[in-house]
Amino acid sequence: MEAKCAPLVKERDALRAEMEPREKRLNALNNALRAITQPRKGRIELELASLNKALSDKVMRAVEADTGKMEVTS
Amino acid sequence: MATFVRFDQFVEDLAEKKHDLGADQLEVALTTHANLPTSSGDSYLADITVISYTNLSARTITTSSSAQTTGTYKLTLTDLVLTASGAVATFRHTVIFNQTQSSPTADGLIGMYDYGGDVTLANLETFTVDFDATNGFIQITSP
Repeated sequence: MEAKCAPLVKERDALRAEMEPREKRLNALNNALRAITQPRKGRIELELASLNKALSDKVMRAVEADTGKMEVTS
Repeated sequence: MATFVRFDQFVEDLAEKKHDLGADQLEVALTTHANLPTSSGDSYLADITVISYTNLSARTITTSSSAQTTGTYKLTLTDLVLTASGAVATFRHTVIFNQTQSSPTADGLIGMYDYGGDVTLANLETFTVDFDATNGFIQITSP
């Protein structure tokens, strides 16, 4: 049985050894991507918030015109 | 609410049928506080100094109704929304004048309102002349 398992174990270990650096690289790439996209997302959100505030702050000015009253007397 | 300040000459011109408030085209003129018109000294548009209307929408006013009820005449105007399509020169006073009037001088001044402070409009901002829909722009009564 040992003789049957040995090559399989060997192949599994070889695959694991082969995959480990790839997984590390994959994680590193994901982290690098996150580092680029997350701050950008944050910046965009800040810009959006700032634009929204500017819009809501925009004053809709109006002059409320009082009625001019004239009286004709005799 | 901004108080209506009537131009003195308007009363005479109205009595001497220089105005047809039911048919004439009324319009808004804008002035700075430094060029504040006076109700006794200024009578026609040419008497006052207005701002540059660059980047501002049309200033013509729509008349809603011109009618009397039990002896009280009321001229009702539709609110005018001025919209900026770019930076507009600073103003403060809103002057209503008769754009149709031609005699004895064109464009008779009727009344004005003080916003109470300088107004500067940036692109897309608006300034509304909010006329009283119930009591009207002007009323003429006789006791």
